Amino acid sequence: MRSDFFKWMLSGESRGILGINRRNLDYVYPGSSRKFFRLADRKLETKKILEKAGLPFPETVMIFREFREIIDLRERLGDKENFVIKPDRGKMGSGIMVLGERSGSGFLDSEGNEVEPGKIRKRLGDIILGVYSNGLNDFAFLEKRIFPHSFFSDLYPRGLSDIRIITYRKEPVMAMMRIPTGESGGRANLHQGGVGVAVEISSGLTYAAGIKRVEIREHPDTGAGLIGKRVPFFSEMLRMCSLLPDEIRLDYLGFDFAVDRKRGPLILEINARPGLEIQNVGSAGLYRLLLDRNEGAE
Amino acid sequence: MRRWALISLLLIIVTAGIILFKIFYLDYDPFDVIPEKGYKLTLEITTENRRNRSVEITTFVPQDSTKQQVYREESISDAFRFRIMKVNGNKQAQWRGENVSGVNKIKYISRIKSVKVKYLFTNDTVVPGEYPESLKAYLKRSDFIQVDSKAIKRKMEELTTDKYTLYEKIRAIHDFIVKDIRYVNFSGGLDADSTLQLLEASCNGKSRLYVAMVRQLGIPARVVGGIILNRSPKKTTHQWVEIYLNGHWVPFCPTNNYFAELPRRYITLYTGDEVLFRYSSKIGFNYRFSFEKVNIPKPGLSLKYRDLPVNIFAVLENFEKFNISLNILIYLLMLPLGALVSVILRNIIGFQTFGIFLPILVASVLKGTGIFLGLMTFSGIIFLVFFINFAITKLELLYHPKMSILLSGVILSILVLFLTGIAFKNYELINVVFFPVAIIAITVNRVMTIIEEEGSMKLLTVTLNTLVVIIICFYFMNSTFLQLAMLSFPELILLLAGFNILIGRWSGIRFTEFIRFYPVFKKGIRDEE
Repeated sequence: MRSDFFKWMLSGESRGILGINRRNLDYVYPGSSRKFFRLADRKLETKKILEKAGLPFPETVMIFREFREIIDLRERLGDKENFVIKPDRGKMGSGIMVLGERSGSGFLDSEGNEVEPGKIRKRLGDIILGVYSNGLNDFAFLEKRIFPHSFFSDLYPRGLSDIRIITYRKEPVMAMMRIPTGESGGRANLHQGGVGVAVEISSGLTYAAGIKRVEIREHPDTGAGLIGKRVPFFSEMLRMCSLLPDEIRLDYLGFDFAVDRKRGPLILEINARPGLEIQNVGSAGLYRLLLDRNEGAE
Repeated sequence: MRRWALISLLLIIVTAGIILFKIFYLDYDPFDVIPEKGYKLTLEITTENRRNRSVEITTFVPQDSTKQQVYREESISDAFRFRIMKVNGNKQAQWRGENVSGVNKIKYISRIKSVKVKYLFTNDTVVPGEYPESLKAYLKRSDFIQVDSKAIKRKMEELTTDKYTLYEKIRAIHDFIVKDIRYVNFSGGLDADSTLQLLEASCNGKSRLYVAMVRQLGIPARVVGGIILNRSPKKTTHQWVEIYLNGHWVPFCPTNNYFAELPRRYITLYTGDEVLFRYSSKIGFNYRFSFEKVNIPKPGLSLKYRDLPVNIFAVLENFEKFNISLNILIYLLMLPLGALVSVILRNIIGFQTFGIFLPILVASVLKGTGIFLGLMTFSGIIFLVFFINFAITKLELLYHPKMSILLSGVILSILVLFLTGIAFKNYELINVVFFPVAIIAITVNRVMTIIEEEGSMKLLTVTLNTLVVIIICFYFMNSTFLQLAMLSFPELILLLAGFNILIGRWSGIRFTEFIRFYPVFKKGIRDEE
């Protein structure tokens, strides 16, 4: 390992791996004005853009902008069920609370556990107070719950799997699927224990899978095979990535998709600073792919 | 060339330019920055006068010599007129007041740099046979130094007959007076003859006998008076001896057994067998000496370097005038360096810490608390926050009230430790109370952010990362060499800015990323081969 370290130090281009310094310096920040980060960071703003561009996204049911809007929560909720609470500015899925079917005065979450109204109020309050947005005031909103396409529920029946596609100047660079496990508490997040599955851009086929960098070939809970599967609507998702309007000047983005069994692929959110772990999932360096792309373009 | 590289280069060149200009054109000596250790000696005199007549007080005050240098003196005496006189080579201060009644105070403050002196007095040292007029005074008898005393002469000869060199003779006299004249602490004086008779005396009698014997050898010698700065405040003054050898007045102390040398803490107030205080009769008179150790910037530097663009010496002297510790200046100057170190550790090595500035703040506190205790306190706070948060989670409180409780909980714990320290007289526990509240508050905030956003495992790794960064920053910020560099060349801050620009444009992989993505890295190599 030590000789490799020196090779890395001397090589300069780090074997095609994209580190956070280069990601920020060369890809995320140059050519992007701050106001566009705001559009990507706030999910409600993002939805406005998607709507204008004719791109599909989960339907917003209700928005809580101020504390006092939580007071008459019961009346506002009526007898609605199956929605998700999200912080407008939350990152990496933090602050999300799934409320499925009604259960007494409360709801059942995606794992089948009871969620009482007090917890719901507290979550809404915490979001507005900024617990999930670094202390800055935030909005909470409810959006319609997504019931995943059978492809995903066959791999794991609970929680919501998503597809992350990294794009540079509207061209897809790398893609992966994230699947929750029992261990991860229904969350698809990689560092919470979700399964990362590498998806080949050209074919939409999965070619590698792992949990926290340990290679696996089947889902630990269901035993479903993870390699060689074709992701449904993948080319559709790729197409959607290129449809973001030109005025939104963000060169380097991560699109998060979920496939609803009725509506098909929906854009959950757009990430202006997508994480780097996808490189470990796909065993490929983003920097090399980005450089190849540039050469191809010229 | 790109703009950032240009700016960076410019900063480096400007800094180098200023430094070189200072060193070569202005003959700048970086070591001039180091303040010298000195004393601030204060004499407080209290007088009480009921008879409405004039009051006059005279005393000897410190002046420059080979051993000491007086920087600043001031006299604070509202009711009296003050003047300085030179008498017999001594410096005398005099306070005079007409119609001064009641209780009055006088303060005399001198800032003195004192050094240890040691003279090479050996068997080879020889002295001339004749002395000029000015020195002959130190061979004569006086009422208290009976050079003509037969008893003293007999004793002196008994001590020195079998000694051949001057060194051996004086050594014999010295040892006799040190060992065989018993020291008694009494404030009155005793003449040389009586001292020999009684074989006991205070420093005064010992010194007088010593001088008498040396004068009998035909060598000029004198009693010297002053004060030993060992305890503050104090009233006891001291006397010792100086012998004229080879053009120097060499010190000897027969009370504390110093032979041809004297430590820093001896301050000379007068030479000759004088009385320290003289004051009008029939007034109440009391006095007290107190002192503190201070850092004195080398004198005359703001003048020497008045051409400097950034005259740090003027700054240093002003710090001293306003009684602000130099440490504050050092603290401020080292912060940018600490910040750079922190940035390097983060952007190049890849340490993930609680914010970028918290490690520097904690590092600067460690000097006062001690490394181990400071880090223990810091870790303790983190652990406390985690623990209290865990305990009150069930209460499902809103965010800000919960933060308030956490902060209160930590402070309460610190108070408990403090009181425990007092109860068991454990000074380490007592010192936890000095951990700055600002740092505690910031730490509580950041710890909670990590717990909320990323979970407890992440908290552990970030804590360990932060501790390592704190320790590394601490060593850089407390390096005497670097402190000297920053004090001598504060323009180095520009250089630090230049480095920050370079790091700000560095797009390489962080070391921790190298480890994180190693499998992909290895695969990249395999693909190429």
